Amino acid sequence: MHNRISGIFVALFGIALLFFVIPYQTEAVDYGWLKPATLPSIAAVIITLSGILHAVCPRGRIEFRLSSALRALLFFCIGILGLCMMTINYMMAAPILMLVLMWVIGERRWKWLFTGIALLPACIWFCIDFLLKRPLP
Amino acid sequence: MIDTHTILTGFADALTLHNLFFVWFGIIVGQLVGAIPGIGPVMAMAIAIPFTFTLNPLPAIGFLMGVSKGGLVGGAIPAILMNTPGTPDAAATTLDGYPMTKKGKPEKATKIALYSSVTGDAFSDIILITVAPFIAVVALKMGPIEIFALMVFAFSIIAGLVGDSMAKGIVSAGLGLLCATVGLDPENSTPRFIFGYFELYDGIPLVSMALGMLAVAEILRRMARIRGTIKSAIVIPKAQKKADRGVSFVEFWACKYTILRGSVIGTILGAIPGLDSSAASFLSYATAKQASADPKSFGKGNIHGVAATESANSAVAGANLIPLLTLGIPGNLAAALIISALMIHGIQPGPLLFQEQGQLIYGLFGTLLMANVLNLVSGLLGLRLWARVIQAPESIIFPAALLLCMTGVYLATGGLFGVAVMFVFALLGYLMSSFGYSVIVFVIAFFLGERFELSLSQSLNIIDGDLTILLSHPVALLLFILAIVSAIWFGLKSKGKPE
Repeated sequence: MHNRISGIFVALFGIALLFFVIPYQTEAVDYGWLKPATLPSIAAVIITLSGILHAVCPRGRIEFRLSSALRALLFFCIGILGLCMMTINYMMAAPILMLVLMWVIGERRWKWLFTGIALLPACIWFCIDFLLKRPLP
Repeated sequence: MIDTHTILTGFADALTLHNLFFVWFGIIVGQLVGAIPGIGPVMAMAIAIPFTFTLNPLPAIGFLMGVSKGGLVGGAIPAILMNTPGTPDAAATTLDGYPMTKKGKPEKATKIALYSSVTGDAFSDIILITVAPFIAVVALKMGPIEIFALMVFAFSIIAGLVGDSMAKGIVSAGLGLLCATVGLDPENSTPRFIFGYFELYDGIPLVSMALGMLAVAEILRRMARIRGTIKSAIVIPKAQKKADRGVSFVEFWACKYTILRGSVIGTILGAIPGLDSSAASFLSYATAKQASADPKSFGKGNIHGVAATESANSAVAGANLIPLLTLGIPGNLAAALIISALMIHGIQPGPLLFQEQGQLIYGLFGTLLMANVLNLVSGLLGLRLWARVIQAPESIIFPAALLLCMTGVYLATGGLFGVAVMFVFALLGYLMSSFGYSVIVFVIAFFLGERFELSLSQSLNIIDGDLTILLSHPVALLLFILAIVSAIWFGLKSKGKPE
């Protein structure tokens, strides 16, 4: 069932691309054989047709589990939060990001926490900022 | 053809200490990450690419090739010692490697894996060096129509061979092509799909896409699977007989036909875009079992089983470079990452590479040969050490890998926008792989997208609306027909079970 739903979603995505995204995100040109919208339109048609084919005749394995996906989403959000913190200062964001990730995973041993929170960011700072002279955020 | 002076200068470049150091460093990193289940050389290569910017092209590519080659050796360690392949390539190695460990011969198993791996790798490198220049000469005679037809054919093969559904493969290729069209179009230079972000005028940053799809998506998946468990330690028993600690020359020589057969299978399959080394190692294992006088001993700790799989999966590495260097078509993820590294260094892979960058190409060939020697030495010295080092828990490995990805992309793209793009692709990669849409096909289509559009534009201008012109391009016509036939063949062939 998941397979069939993914095919329907892909087909709808292709249709949305064809009718709503491509016309507004490409410029109309009235010369030449290959217009800016040609290849994206070809790709969208291919996506739509293959999506329909897959919805009608679903094949292949699915490894989607809602519980794992939600947990992955949690780590994704933590990563995004880390990215937002990096806009302020890398050396502040990196240890906090490591701490939150390791803690959520379930790491409680102080020596590994210390390695991840203090040693690793310090090592990155030393290699990139100090040795390579490349500024970190 | 390239003159002898260029060839010798290239090989001399490969032998400089500076170059050898980075190749060796890459091998060490590769063996280490290959030994850690879940990280693997592809993820390590993706993370390492931004850090190679400061290097010259040869040491940078040599370092990445070192990671790839070292990873193939390292991947066998947990497969043999823990029954957990460090990389997908080593999955078949568990069949006889782990039973050898249970018999109390873990060091013998890891050593035959190392010897077979290096032999298979060296074999395919020699084939690459001898065959590639001639294919490049033929490829140079191809015009835009033939190149476009070749790419269509390659897409049909890759979409069919990778993954378990042709329709899903085509969707992945379509998405990859679509993402490649972001930015200025090659014919009219008008912006497409920039959604108000001026950073996208140059297209989607290569590094952001590669790391997001290949590394971060997998990191998220692996972190989501950890439920407070601590990674099991690997222990090599101290009480081993002396004869079980190594592989004698007689034992190695007894495996010569198995290794040769594995190397040939790996080289042939590696040269076909889309087929990965897992296919080669399982095929080699099956043929070794068939050819054996005692097939029942396979799966119970037969040394030939390990030799067959490791020689085949390593032979794929060199052969993968044949379509990459001669035609500019990456055959698998590692090759796609090498192509991105070449492009980042301003080098366009393809037949012209042999004319324009002959010294670099032969430097790369020399580097590949030296990497095999260094791989053998590092493997012999480090096998026990890697088994100890990989005891680090996953709870630090994956967060550290994520932090390194973010830092690497920031450095490569010069801002946090690239990091945000990386996260978008991580989400896409996670969803695609969860629903069985091939990430490999997506990445290859993305890398080929720009050249695909350019050759399509040139072809349309040549044809100028008259399809009968195609009749004067029989090679292109044949490739188009082959593409249609292979698409129908793979579509009809039921690889995956219907839902």
